[in-house]
Amino acid sequence: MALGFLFGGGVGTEVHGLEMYRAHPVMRELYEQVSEWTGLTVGQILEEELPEPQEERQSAGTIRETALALGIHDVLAEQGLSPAVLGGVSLGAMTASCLAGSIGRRELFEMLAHARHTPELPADEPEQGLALAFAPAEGDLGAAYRGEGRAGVHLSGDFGPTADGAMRILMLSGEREALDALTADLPPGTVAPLPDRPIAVHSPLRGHFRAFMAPYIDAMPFKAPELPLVSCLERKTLTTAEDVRDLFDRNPTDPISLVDVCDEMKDQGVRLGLIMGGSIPDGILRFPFPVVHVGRPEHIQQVLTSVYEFGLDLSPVRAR
Amino acid sequence: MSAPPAALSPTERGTECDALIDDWLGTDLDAWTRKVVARHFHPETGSPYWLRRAAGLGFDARDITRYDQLTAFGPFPVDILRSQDPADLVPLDVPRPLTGRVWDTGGTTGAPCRLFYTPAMLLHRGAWRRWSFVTEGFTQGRTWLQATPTGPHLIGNGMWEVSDLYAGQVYGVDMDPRWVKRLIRAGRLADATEYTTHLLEQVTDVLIHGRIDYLNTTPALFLALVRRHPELVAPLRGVRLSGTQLSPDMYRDFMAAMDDGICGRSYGNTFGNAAGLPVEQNAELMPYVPNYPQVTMNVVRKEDWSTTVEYGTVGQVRLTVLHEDLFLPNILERDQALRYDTGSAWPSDGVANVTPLQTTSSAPEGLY
Repeated sequence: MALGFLFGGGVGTEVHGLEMYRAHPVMRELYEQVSEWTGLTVGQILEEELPEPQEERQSAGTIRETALALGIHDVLAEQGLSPAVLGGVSLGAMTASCLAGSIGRRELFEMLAHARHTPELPADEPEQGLALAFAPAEGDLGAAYRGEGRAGVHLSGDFGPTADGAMRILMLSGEREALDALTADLPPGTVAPLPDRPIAVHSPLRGHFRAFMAPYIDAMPFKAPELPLVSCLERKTLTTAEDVRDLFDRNPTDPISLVDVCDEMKDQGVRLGLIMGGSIPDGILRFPFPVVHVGRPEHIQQVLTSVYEFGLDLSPVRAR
Repeated sequence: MSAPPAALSPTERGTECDALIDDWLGTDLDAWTRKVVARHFHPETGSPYWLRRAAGLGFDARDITRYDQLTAFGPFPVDILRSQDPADLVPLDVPRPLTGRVWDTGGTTGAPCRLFYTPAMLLHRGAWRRWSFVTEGFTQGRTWLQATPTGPHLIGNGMWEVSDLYAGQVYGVDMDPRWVKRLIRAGRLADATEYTTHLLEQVTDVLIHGRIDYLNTTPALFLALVRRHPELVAPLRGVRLSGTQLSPDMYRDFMAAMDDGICGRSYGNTFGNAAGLPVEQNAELMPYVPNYPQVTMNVVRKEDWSTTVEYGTVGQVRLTVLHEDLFLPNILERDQALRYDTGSAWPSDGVANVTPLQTTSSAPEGLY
């Protein structure tokens, strides 16, 4: 009967966490620290418009999302709520790694800040994009979105079944034109392009980013996780420093699976999951355990109620 | 315990309840809506609360002809039920002075809301509860332990429902949900757990003698019992659950903990209730149907309470109470659920997988 902390991925356009920041001094202290580590102002981390250049924008966005997730963790820790199991997809997996003690907070934020120096792709490279695909709940994923083998389209994520179990939501990354063509070829509603996401994450198209970050990640001082930490790249619990380094290295180009994350967390005993920040929307997906979204001060009460009602054993081990 | 005045045998009660439910399930919801609205807005014999509000509504409530037009009333301001005389919600057609019980809501967010239940309303609730007993496989004439809130909490009237409507013998253990909520609000989870232990001691003191067939309690307390005293759970013939969150894992664990027991469920509160239907998809889908037609539930968009979501989609639970003696349109519950398609099996929508309302974004684009 374990409490799991689950962290989403991606960099959204909505600002989350203002109320939490204002309500909790421990969160404001963290943002001050993050500002020192990253060179961004607290306002930039918290709510200001992200910079325009693509990689710079992505870097600042990841810092914003990570600061929020860790800040919420710190607020919950003040209430005596610590995770027994940690998991996340993409950026969230790195945040989870940090809380598992595999990498320090400073090192994580400095890595995210370093990513802003990633060389932009040449202007004549095809425009990239992301889309969500809605597939039948059962069956082969590759065939489900009917994009397999299409040039410029990659299956980059599996978010699993919808809340009613009727459908399955996949993420497609690729060249924008190829995604648009796929969208047009399929029945309406099958593929939904995400116009504000111009980076083909978790696909081979992010190879240049992976190559740029590889030396930096190779030099980072990873340690073995002190808490169960699950991977988003395969169904696995990471147990060594090298496991975590490998996750950081492959994350840009390899597909992610929220299904694998949640199933592994379930196997690790999770019976209640806290979804940190606004990174995974409510009510869309089916999880193998109850979840409570934590992004506003009033959610703390819901967390405490759920911990009591689900009879959770609170972990004696404190996350980092 | 409160009870309707007539002293009928359990068999006669059963026949009466069956007939009532047959009638209710055959009721046209629009016709029922017209009847209830007309009663509450009757100039001489309506309910004082609604007659006071009538002039400020901006429309003549008696012009309403369909259930879906009840959105014109807007969300019901439940806060007024914390201070309003409960009698003012009851039509003057019910003879004054009113005699009977005032029931409280849980008081999760402060002072409780209070409602007067006429005998007909209590019988309505009891008849549906009895219907659940029958359809879920509980048998008459058994011995029950009810470990739930009692006192001002309507769930406690279940002791009467079991004994008088289902020929049961009922033991009781009282639970104070407001104390638990107060402890949780203060972050005193260890003290809340200690209170659970205090309740479990009383529960086990009854169960240990082996006389109890069925246990009626909350999922949270039953979970604690399963963990700490599995040997007392195994021989139970069944458990009936309501009042706190129930996850698919819990349901499956509960079924596994009983050698050959059944697990009944209901969802609701002092405003209105819904009966559990059999679980689907290995308990991943846990549906409920409201106590029609006096209670109906819609699942609506969180950002637009007047719009119902698609089947299979999650939204906020909107409850409408259409008792002849109590009219509460559009109560926005602090719960969310899947909108459940009952098809031809039920005259209204159902709800499934009920959880506390989450006030976060639910836009799919936020997935990444």
